[in-house]
Amino acid sequence: MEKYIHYDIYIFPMVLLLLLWAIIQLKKIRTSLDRSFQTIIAVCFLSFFSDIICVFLDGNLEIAVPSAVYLGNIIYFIVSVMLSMTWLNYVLYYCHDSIHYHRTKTIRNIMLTPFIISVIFTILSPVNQQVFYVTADCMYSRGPLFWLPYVANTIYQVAAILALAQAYALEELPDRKRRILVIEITTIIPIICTVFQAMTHVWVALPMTAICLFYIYMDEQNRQITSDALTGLNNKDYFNSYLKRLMDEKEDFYLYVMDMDRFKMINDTYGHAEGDVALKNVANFLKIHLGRRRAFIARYGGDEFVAIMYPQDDKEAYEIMLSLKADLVRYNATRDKEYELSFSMGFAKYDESFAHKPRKLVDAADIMMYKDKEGKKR
Amino acid sequence: MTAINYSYYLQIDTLPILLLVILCINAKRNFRNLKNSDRFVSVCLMIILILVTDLLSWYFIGEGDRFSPMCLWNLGTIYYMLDGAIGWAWFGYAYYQVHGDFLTDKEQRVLTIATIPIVLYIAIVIGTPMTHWIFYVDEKSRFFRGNLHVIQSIVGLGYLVASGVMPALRYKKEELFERKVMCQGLALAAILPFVGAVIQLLNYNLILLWPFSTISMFIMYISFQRTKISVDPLTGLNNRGRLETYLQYKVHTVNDDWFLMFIDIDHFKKINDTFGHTTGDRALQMVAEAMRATLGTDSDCMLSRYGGDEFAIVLNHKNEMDMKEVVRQLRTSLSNLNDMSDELFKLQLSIGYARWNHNKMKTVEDILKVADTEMYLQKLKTRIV
Repeated sequence: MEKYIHYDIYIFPMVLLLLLWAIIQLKKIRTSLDRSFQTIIAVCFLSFFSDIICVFLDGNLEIAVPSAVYLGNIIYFIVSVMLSMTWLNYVLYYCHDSIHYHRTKTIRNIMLTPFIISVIFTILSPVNQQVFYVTADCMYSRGPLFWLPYVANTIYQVAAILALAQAYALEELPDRKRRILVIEITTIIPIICTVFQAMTHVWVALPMTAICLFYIYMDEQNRQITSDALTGLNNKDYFNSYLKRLMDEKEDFYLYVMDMDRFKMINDTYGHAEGDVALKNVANFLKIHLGRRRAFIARYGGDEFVAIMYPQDDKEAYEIMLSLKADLVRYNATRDKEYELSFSMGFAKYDESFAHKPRKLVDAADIMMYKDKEGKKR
Repeated sequence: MTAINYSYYLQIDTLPILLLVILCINAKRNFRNLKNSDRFVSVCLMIILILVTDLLSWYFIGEGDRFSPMCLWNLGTIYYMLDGAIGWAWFGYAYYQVHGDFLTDKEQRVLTIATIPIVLYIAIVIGTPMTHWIFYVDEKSRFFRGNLHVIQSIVGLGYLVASGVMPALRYKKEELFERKVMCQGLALAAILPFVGAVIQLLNYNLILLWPFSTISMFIMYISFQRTKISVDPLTGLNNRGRLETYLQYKVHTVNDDWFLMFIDIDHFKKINDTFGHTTGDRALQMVAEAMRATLGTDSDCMLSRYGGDEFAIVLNHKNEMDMKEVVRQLRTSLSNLNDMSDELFKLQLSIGYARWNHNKMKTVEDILKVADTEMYLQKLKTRIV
């Protein structure tokens, strides 16, 4: 009975993992980040599988022979170290956030060392009984070097946690900061669960790893669904539903509208590719300079951006606008381009009269923005 | 029931509950504006509830000395009512998903008829403490299946099969790629609980029905989400992200028989500035409509909004003659729309296209550049005239 229930707990996360893997496999274009994520899923699935085999064979004299128990445990140890290694691999790809990220040979060799050492000792175990040995009644027992695979695991896990912590500290863009934090937490949870499982014999370590992988996947999907493909800001669709939600909550806020000046000129003179670069630059500028305060930024359409912020009064709202424009002038000085970025800006305070009329609020901010634009033309 | 065994049940049921909670939060957050998302969330919540009920009943089973059998009677009634209700809600979700939010009178009638079995079934479950049809509990809190327990399986499986067969039949009729994917997802989602139920029937020790249903909810979520990721909300065309993925895929084929077409609205900025953004949005929708009228039924084409006032189409046509014909038809359908509309503007398009040539072109950027230049030359011509 007890053995059956062990499978029962594992079947659900295993099917979940298969499904996750298949969904990513079905994408027409898979990035290297996708592939490394798939590798974790595959290795995690193997861990479940080898865990089941080990528990099934352990002390089961009707079926098992010592050599089979040896084999099962060797696979189990190798796969479990592999799991934390592939996780570190994914984390490193993630932190560098680049399709063109290539590791040098030295770093690759350093990364493999703990894995190779623990593999060698594990495979030698049937001969020298260092890591583990199997008794005559097919029971697993610890050897004097039993800690070796655990230490290898720990090295990878600590490396992953540190890499993420460093990336978190260095990252400027708030949305990426948040995503790095998600990965950090989902890296730590399985570790806590492993410790918990070792103390209580409740089978949580691998199932929680599967749930964490699921969570990472969902988080990444959410980012794609709510953000604008070009700039990575929130998209218009998500802005609209966010605005509706805010209006339901009856909290005071200010809506800012920013429309780029002479964007058509940039597009026509330097081509669409350069136009895209200009939009990306403005988006990153907004993310960094508004991200310091509580702000929700979105791309509203072509060359128009919107932001929701919470200044105390009109005076502070106006100051935010002025300081943002001053920052943009400074930002232009750091860019090595023939044209300058600038935008016209306006804001409107949300009050009762706008309740359930999000369009009206945007129009009110638009009016101030157009005045700004007209003023520049003269 | 020993403590150690109970902790196993706890483990089996907690994982699906966790996963469903994550799904609910995400659905609430992302699909707020979609009407059917509330139905999705309610199916999730009901499965969570039934898992909790299941957990509680394991706690009381065979504990007649410590707890009154009443607890188990109540839990059993709740469990079986939920069991039917989930099947029905699942069917309702799939039905709206396939037919859209606004049902015709006939579709509404079918849905009403489909409600009859669940009403009868719930009445039977409520009567069970008297009739012992579905289940009964003895004075030692032991749980037994009733004589007519099969009714439960028939109702549950009936709704499940219906919600799987319906999208499978619909699949062929759908034209949009995204709708096809959604039908596939719904059909696949109905199979899993079925498999779970059969395995559970064969091996009494495995509890699979609700965990497998949870996996199905995830499949439905994904197919739901995919339509959102790749569709431009304003025009209903494929969005830029999906276009780029599709182009990447086309570029890696050796086949030369395809074209990329760029369409740009002339003087769009003027329309936007003179009449406001809302009118500008309507102009974009008109162009999308013209594109659909010309090429919508042609499954070989990929219509998309590239950004701002630009549209792009990938066409699997053989030669330049076909392309000239497409351009002519596009202009005709747009001028028809212009004549019909009450708007103060008349829309005009600049159209340029390029053929993929795998000897000269290497990346997506190469073909984008050629098509863009062609369109731009066209735009200059209209300006001079």
